[in-house]
Amino acid sequence: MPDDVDLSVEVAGLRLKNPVLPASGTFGYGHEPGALFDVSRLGAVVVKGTTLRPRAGNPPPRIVETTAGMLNSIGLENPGVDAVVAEHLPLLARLGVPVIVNVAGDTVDEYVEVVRRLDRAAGLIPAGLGLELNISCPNVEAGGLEFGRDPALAARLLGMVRAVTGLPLIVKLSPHSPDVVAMGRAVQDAGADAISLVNTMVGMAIDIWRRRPVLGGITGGLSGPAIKPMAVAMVYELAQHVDVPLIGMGGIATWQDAVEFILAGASAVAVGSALFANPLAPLEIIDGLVDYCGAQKVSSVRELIGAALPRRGS
Amino acid sequence: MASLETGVVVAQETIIPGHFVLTLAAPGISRTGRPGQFVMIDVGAINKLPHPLADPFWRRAFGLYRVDPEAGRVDILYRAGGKGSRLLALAAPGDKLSVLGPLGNGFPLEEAEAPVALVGGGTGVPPLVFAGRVFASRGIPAKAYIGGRSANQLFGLDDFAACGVPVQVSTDDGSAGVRGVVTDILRPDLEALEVRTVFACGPTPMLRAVQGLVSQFKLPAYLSVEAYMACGRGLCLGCAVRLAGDGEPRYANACTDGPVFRSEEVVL
Ligand SMILES: Cc1cc2nc3c(=O)[nH]c(=O)nc-3n(C[C@H](O)[C@H](O)[C@H](O)COP(=O)(O)OP(=O)(O)OC[C@H]3O[C@@H](n4cnc5c(N)ncnc54)[C@H](O)[C@@H]3O)c2cc1C
Ligand SMILES: Cc1cc2nc3c(=O)[nH]c(=O)nc-3n(C[C@H](O)[C@H](O)[C@H](O)COP(=O)(O)O)c2cc1C
Ligand code: FES
Repeated sequence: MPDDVDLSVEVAGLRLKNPVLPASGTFGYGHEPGALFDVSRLGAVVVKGTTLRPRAGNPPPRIVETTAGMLNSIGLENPGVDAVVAEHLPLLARLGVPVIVNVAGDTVDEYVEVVRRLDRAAGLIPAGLGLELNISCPNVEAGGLEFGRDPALAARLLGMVRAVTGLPLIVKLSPHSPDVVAMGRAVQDAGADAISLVNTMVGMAIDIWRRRPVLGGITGGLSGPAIKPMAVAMVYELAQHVDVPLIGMGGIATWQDAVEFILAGASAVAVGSALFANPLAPLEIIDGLVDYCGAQKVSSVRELIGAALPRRGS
Repeated sequence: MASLETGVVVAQETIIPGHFVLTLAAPGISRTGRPGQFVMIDVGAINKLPHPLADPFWRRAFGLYRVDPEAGRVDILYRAGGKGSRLLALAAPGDKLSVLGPLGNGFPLEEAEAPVALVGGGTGVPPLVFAGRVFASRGIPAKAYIGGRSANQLFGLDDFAACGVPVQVSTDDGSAGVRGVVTDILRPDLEALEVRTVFACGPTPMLRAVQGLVSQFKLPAYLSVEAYMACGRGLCLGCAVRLAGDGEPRYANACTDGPVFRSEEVVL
């Protein structure tokens, strides 16, 4: 294996030794024994959606397997930001890698308060603390419309959050943004340092014998290889219209999948639901990237970012 | 502690139509696995194909049925019903499987006051057989109560008999044992005060019936519940089980907090 390949990338001011991350909500808090491998080998750890107060989550069943993927309606079960800061960040600090906390809320005020509390805790993570705003949540104040479906709402949220933190700010886009380019530009202009995409797609499954939806939450978010081509297309589209780095995700299970996202313009990639069947997928992807760079005769993975994009100006 | 192990298929046999016993060489799990714990097998990666199958997307969960730490072997007993378990049924001796385990808490054998009733049906029987063997080997009195649809759907009965655990049977159609459901055969023994603890594993409606019965008799009971599981390791929070109690609902993970819960602790 060529060991002189440089996999390091910089995203939103965070220095990542390689571009492979776990996707929020699929890896717990990253320090649990269930991870089954040395988590410090990852580029960074991304933790679950964190809200102001603890949330119990949705009634079961919360997940169901679908063709080449799955649906989830976890309902943001989490212990709340104060517990994340007190209990999880100190354990994450020991890993020595950057930590990205995914932030969710129902109102602008809730996002702002969560971010404010995380900002105060930044010193706990010397390798760098970043924030990923999950804007796929329904905004209670705006009548339940998702922040992520309306560029003006998203930009307003970003502005309010940006005002209370200087931490690296990543905005996570929903695949349901009616116009991904407009959305991407809006959050970039409002101060986002990076954009991650995609979150899950709304889907549902029906139990034909009970004649009822399978999930307790009725609909859920579709993830896994089933959504990968759609996610690659969104990254490819957005990469041509924004300057901030992108973190690509959606169905990544192998190093080949990761390479597709990088060539489409992603500076880093996240592995989500594929981790469930294959806990070691992130390590296999890191090894595969090294081999691929060697085979492609590039000394740094950075040379591959966006390499499949049409040349600017042509 | 759960780990990933490559299990090599030693044998795979049909016991009744559509039901298989799979014997794996998996020394780690054979040494640490306890009754009520389970494994998750990557049925889409038999012999670790260069590209994992994306479909079926999840591992499949199976309770430990027999372990032989000396030989380093683990048996599971399963029904090949859907697409993942049917793929597993194609595995042949020499094939390599990725096995995650042992997972979950298992039955509290040490705390259980004897005599213990082992109550179950269908694919809930394998973990009860494992528990029965351990009790028998320790000279702790236990008795099995097994329910099924009809005589040709029953399995595991010989296992109880072989280790000296008496077994009583009920079937929906009366083709074996008592006509009725498993709580019908359990009730008289509870009334006769012949049971001090209940371990149950089976379909959810059966577990609910057991829950109702033991609460009448105020007996300690432990139920092994089923839930859809993606990770099996407490990472996805997908396998939530509702905890009993008023006010805001609270949930536990079936995979790490369970699959065995005290009967009064959970809402099924
Ligand atoms: C802790 C635990 C222990 C189990 N032990 C055994 C055992 O010893 N023997 C046995 O035959 N079965 C056991 N099961 C049930 C077994 O996991 C399912 O029957 C199996 O996953 C079905 O897969 P399939 O490919 O046949 O069905 P599919 O229809 O392809 O399954 C679709 C999805 O639903 C899930 N699923 C379907 N039925 C169940 C179920 N009853 N419980 C949980 N998930 C389900 C599958 O895992 C899969 O993700 C156990 C389940 C759990 C949670
Ligand atoms: C069980 C589960 C929980 C998730 N929780 C979150 C979350 O809390 N916040 C978030 O932004 N995304 C969450 N996601 C979305 C993932 O981070 C990811 O964007 C999506 O699953 C697509 O990637 P994948 O196909 O690799 O899973 C969750 C996904 C799953 C499967
Ligand atoms: S199956 Fe993922 S937490 Fe239990």
